[in-house]
Amino acid sequence: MSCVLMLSVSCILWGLGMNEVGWLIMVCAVALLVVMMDCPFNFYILKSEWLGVDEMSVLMVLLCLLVSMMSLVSSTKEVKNGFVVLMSGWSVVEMVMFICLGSVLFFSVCSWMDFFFFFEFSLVPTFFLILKWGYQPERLQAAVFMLLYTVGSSLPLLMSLVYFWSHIKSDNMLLSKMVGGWKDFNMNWPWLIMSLSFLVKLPVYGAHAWLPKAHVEAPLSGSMLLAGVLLKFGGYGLIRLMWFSEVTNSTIVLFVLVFSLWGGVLSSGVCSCQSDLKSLIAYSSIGHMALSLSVLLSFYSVGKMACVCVLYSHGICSPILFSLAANSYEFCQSRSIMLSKGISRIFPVISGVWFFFCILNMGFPPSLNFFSEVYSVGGLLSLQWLLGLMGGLMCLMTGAYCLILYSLVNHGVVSSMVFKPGLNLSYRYLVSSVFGGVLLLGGTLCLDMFFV
Amino acid sequence: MSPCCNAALSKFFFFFLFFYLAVVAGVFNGGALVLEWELSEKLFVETSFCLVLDWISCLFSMSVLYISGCVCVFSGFYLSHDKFLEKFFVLLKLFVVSMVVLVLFPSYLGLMVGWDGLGVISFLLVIYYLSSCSLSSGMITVLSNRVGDVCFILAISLMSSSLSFGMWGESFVSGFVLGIFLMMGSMTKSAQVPFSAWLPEAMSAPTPVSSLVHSSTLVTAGVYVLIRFSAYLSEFEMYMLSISSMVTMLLAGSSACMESDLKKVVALSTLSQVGMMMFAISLGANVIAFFHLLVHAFFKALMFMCMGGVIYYSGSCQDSRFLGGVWNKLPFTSCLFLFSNFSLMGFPFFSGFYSKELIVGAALSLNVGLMAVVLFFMCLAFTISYSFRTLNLVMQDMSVFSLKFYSMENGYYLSSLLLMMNGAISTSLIMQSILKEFSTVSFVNPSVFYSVLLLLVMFFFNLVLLFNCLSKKSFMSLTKNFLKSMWFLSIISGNFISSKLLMMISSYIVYVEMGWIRAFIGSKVINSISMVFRNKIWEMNMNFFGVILFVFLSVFLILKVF
Repeated sequence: MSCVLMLSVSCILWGLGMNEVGWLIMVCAVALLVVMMDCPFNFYILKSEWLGVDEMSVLMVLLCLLVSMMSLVSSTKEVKNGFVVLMSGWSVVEMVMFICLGSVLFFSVCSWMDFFFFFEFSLVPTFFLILKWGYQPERLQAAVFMLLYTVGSSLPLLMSLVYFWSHIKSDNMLLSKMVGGWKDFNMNWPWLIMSLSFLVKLPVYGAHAWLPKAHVEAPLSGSMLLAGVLLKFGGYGLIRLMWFSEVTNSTIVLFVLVFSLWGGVLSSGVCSCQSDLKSLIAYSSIGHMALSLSVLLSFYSVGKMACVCVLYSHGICSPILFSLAANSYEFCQSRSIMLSKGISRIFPVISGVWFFFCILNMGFPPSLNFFSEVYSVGGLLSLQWLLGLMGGLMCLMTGAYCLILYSLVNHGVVSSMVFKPGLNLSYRYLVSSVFGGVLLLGGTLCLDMFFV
Repeated sequence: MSPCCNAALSKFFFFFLFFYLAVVAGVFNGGALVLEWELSEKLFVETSFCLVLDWISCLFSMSVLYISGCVCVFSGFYLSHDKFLEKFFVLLKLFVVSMVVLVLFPSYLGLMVGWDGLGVISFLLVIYYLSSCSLSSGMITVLSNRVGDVCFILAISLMSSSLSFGMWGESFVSGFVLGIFLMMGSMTKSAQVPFSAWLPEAMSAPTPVSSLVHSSTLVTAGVYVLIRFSAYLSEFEMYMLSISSMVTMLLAGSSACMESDLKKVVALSTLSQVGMMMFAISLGANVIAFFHLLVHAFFKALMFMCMGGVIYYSGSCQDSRFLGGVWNKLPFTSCLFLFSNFSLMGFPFFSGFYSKELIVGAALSLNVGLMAVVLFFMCLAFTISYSFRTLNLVMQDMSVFSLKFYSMENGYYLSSLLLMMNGAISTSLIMQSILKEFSTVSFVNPSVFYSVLLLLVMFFFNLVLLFNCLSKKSFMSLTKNFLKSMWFLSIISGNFISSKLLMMISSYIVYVEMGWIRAFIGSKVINSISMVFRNKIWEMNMNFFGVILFVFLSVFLILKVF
């Protein structure tokens, strides 16, 4: 209660014109959320008829709020654009807030139908965000692909959730787990069809074609939200599905595990040969999500913990990489790696931040990414030695492309496109990166909070 | 040059801190301090960062901090006109911090902090001069180190099923696989065969970096980890390690006899000495290997500093074919270079002699085969031959020399040399007299040792004469190419693997990624499905019967569900 009071007082003060209150607001908000994390391990508490809370959902809500805050701070170009403000309609701040609202509710509801509703709800503001603030004419096809893939694969999920409702006679997640879930059924192929929607959202390797397109065509805030929050819907949905419907390990699950792990290795390899900065970071997202999916599907408890840890740490690190790429877009006017080079000589601090987040992406101890990677590979190795070796191969290729990314942007002679350094460079990018970096490095100190 | 003084003074402060801990607080008398920081309680294995201050870690951190302080002073001379000098000092500080973290935290989780940090910061240091050849050297350095990281990550994963990550465990769950991962990880960091290609390539770094990183700290990190975790190694790994270290010593020794770049010759001599340390570990003589590690760090850093002075004064010329006559022009430098080379060769009663003699004694008296002894002596002979070759190339007065402007009046250079001067001569004597662990007794008959050594040197001398008298040009050029490119290892590790892999990935992208996945599934399949659906729905909508059927079916479905 005291946190809420502090928060409201500082908001009022900010409205009245005090400028330095922003940090106070942020600290209060984070403190409020941390205080809410008093749920013990492995419990799920129904707070009301609509909302249910456990550690993982609090973590994901925290992630949503942080990523939307960072994306609002970093998208200076869209907010300050006078042309859009003059036209009537939504501004980018409202779009981002809609996506944030939809995500926060998605991670908090406790009934299957609301879960499905908010799963599809956040697609609409994202679609609008890409269409209105993207840069190239290919963005129409990219946004339509995203919609088509996600909605098309979630139709079986709707059907099976309706059938689940009719079988259990209740919509509540916790109640369905108490009653027994899908235990009476032989969940081989039906499991695959049900989770197809989450697998496409995650995205698993075969169905990943929408992600690089959407990332490349989206504006910065769209990319940050997509990478930071929307990909986590798939992982969260799979965990909830597995937990509440009591499915067991079967051949089809192992098939998807191996498929996604090998797909992760392949997409990490593909990353090393990309010529577009945003596309490179998009393929790295696919690799990380593939690792988290495969360790989740091993059905170990450390697998679930490592999956949530990967989701969280990737959700902080990837948006910051996207904001750094947008930073280099601002002074080079191009995303191609041939043109945005050599910023180590003129922007040493930004070069340092690039380096820091590149090595965080590859899993640099003692950050949260390192622990998530290590326990993912550990879970896979405990299942089967070959899977562990594949996980190790993926770590190797992740290291390779992260360092390739760093050296492509920072090394060598300054590119001739950078002719006026310091023109549009605002320190907002640095602020959000420092914030994310502190979270990722400091996450080690409270590892129990992230190992859900 | 105040950032230089700041950096050096901070290192020396911490040196004296560890000195205090070691001598005054009683660590050298057998005490130890252990601090454990528990990270997570949710897993069965205790995930903790465990700080251990015993005589090994104190002594190693003392020597690392001392050498890095001298290197900071030296880089105030070598990089005095460089624009990004503050960035260099920040990187050096971070590197020293990672190394000290590696030394002080002998539990696998804490060790990875230092291990990964070393690899990544050495990448930044190697690519410090932002050119394309330093980028390629940096990439092969960091990717070889990354292979070792992956081996360690797999080792951590195996260890998660036992009780703790520390160095005092027994691998009762996983057998000898844990030892294999441990050994492979250390081998990549310490540049043993087959991962040796990165060490001569990493000489694209500035000389202060080579002096600190590639002689004393980075390559010895693997040796240190093996010394600490030697309880996990079983018979099989010891065999593999001894074979690999001997091959490394042979490789380094034979390639150094043909190499013309002087910094690469010193790098190859480092490689052979690290191979010798690994060989000692594979015999089980861990303390002797640690002693050689420390002694080698001092005289090798001194050798690199002298080489750095020669390179600086000759206008960044590293090729020995353009150098000569340093004896007359830089007498102090060449004197110290001579002493450090004598130390490297194991000349009697110099610094390197004590530790090398202990290793030779261990090799002769513990159980290795005849072939191992012969190969070991061959490596010693190689060391003598390339050391004399280097001395000859640098100091003898040929008529072509690029050392035009020489003056030793730079204060930083002189003070760094003076600080490191002891390293070549008396470090091992000091260490042996302070610590009782280093003075072991080895039962080697000196007449046997010296006669075998002389025999092998004469044999090689005859071999070299034979080669020179051969008139077959193709055979000579093949041998030269073989030895110059490190038994073709540098070509295979770098160019061949990376180009083949990248071409494979590019063709995969063109055919599968852009072809099947995006164009076929993405465009054609999805479009055909959606088009067909859309057309059918349009047909149905225009049809009155279709509308009634749809309404009837949906009502029926809802009634059925509820």
